[in-house]
Formats: sequence, C-alpha cells, structure tokens
Amino acid sequence: MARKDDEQQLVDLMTRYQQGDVEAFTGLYQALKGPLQRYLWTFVRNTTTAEDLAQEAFLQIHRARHTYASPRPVRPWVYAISRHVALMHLRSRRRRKESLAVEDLPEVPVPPEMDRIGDAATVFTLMAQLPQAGQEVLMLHHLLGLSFQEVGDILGIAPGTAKVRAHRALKTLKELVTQEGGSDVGATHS
Amino acid sequence: MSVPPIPEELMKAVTDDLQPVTPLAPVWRRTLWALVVSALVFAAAVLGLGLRSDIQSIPTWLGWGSSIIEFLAAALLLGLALRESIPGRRLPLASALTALAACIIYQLTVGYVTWRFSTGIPWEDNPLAHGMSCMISDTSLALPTLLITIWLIVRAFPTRAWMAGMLGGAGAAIASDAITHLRCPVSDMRHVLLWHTGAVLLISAAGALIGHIWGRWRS
Repeated sequence: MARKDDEQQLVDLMTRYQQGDVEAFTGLYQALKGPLQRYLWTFVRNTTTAEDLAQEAFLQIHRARHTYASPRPVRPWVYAISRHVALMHLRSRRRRKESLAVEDLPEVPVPPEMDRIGDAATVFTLMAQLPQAGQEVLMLHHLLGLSFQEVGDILGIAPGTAKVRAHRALKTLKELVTQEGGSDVGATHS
Repeated sequence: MSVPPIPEELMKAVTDDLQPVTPLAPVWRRTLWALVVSALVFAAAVLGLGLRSDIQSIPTWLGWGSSIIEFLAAALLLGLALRESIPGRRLPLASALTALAACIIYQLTVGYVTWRFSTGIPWEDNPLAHGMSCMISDTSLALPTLLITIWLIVRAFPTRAWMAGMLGGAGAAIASDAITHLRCPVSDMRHVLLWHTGAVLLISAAGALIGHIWGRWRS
C-alpha cells in the first residue's frame, strides 16, 4: 500500500514537473536521489562518482521529461535513463582506458530477505564479485523494490529472465557469504 | 538518510529551461503518423507506377490481401521501434529479432505462394537489371517512412538507439515490400530472396546504423 502511495506521489510530482513546476522537480530530486545513487553505485562502485552520475542523470531526466507518460510508473523510466547515463560513462572510461576504483560502500538499507544473508557491508562487498547483470537485478528488485516486469522493461529482458537472474545472483551471493565467512568480510568495512 | 540540497549547477540548468512540455503522444498514435506517410506512399506508388503485369493471374487474397497483412506487420514493427524509443520500455532482444524474422518468413512465404500462381518474368531474363530496379524501388519507397520514423524516435529518448533504428528500418522496409509485392513482375524465389529480402535487411541495417551514429553523437 505504501509503495502504491509513493508511486502515486511520484506520478503527481512528475506531471507537475512537466507543467513547469520547480517545486515538483525538488520533490522528485528528494525522493529519487538516494535510490538513484545506490543504483548507479552498482556500475561504478564509488560513492563520489555515483553522486556525479546521479547529477548527470537528473540533467538527462530534465531533457527527456517530455517522454514520461502519466500514469505509468515513474521509477522504471528514471532508472532506465540513469542506466543509460552510467553505461555512457563506463564506455567513455573504457575509451580512456581508466580502471574502476572500488573505494567505498553505499548507504543502503538492506531488506530482510537479504539481511538474512549477512550485514550490509558483507552483502555489498560480495555483490561486487557477481556479474554486472546479476548485481543490477539484485539492486533493482531486492534493494530498490521494483517488480520483475519493471526490471525487464529497464534492462530489455523478459520478466522471467529477470526473475531467473535474481534467483541465480542471490544463490551465488549466499554461496559467497558461506565461502568467505560473512563476519570477517563485514569487519573489514565496518 | 537526509538528502543534501540540489547542487546549484543542476538547479540552474533546470530553472533556465523549465517551460511546460507536452508529453509525447502514446506509441499507437505516433505509429499512426508513420503509417499515414507509409499509406500515402503506398497509394502514390500503386496509382502512379501501376501494378505488375501478371496481377490478373494472382488471386485477390494473395495480391491485395497479403499486401495489406504485410502492411499491418510493418505497423507492428514501427510500433515496436517507437516503444523502444521511450526510456523504461525496452524490448527483449529476442522479441525484436523474432518479430523481424517472422516478417521475413512471411515475405518469403508470400513470394513462394505467388510464384506457384504465376512465375512472372523468368529469372534468367536479365536478373541484374530487374534486381537493381527492385532494390532501388524498395529503398526509395521505404525512405519517407524511414525518415519520419527516425524523426519520431529522435524526438523521444531511446536508450538503445540502434535497436529503435533497426526496428524502424525494418518496419519501413516491410511497408515498402507490401507495395513491391503488387508491382514486381519477377516471382522467382532467387529474385525475392536476393533483392527483396536483401532490401529488407539492408534498410534495417541502415536504420540501425543511423540510430547508432545518432546515439553516439547525442552522448
């Protein structure tokens, strides 16, 4: 129910933003900046870069605001644009032959089903060892709460494929925790 | 977690350009715009350039009927292209390729059934000249639809521009083939496969390339 209310609130804000209401943009920024930055972190694994990319994503959202159609959910639309921004960033970095610098972990509340695996630091450290596709689905579905249909629409895969990827990634993550001994990994980052 | 204030630079960029925007029309309506152009080309080609000489030997369901179905298949591809151009409405790659493959199989099936009814001008009768003429005709007839579709794609925000371009190109090519089916007098499968299926693949590739180049330029 809360999720539905949140989504309706985002739809209202987005509609007002399209009508030129600056307060609505501020509201969207407040509501989406945190989740967006967490999602972008899965691409760059660096909070500062994720923050810069979130800013770039909001600029692109502004340029593309006419492509949002009410009453469709806002979050898949926003994450799709952000994903595009992140991929463009990674591509230009590859061209410049820069490597990823894993510096820090995002401030992400871990939902109960993942909390059972280990503490937040453990989960995020080991998540970085998963393939990018698995990480993305875990982040979008388990951490940011999108449905598999929405995840599929963002990534360009069938909802069933998203579900399979999430299941496999979660299984691998559990195996990694068992292998590494969750508390040791967590301790290095606490 | 408290959210820090909006960075000044971002806020300035937003407030400098905060005029109200009209949301994009729904995908079906934008598809209709592309189809109107396509239908005009269809009518102009049929009225202005005439029909194949052996049209009387082909039953109506096979001549006009299959052309109309092919035109509807083109509408589906154009719709998929315009859906793909909206963020968060990506199409699975397998679905896009299946749609394209289904249209090509349909084109070849219609070509084969038509050949069973009327062989038309034999393949051996100057194949290169007939082939080139069909290729040029297919490409020219597809061009107006391709251009409007690319324009509609570019007006949106495709996150995978090459895919939107490829589907748009395929839609334009299949719409053009629906016209050619009524005009081309060579029914031989070698001609259909080489020049007509070849044209569909070529125009789809051109759409993908335009999309790719535009995507690169934008970023």
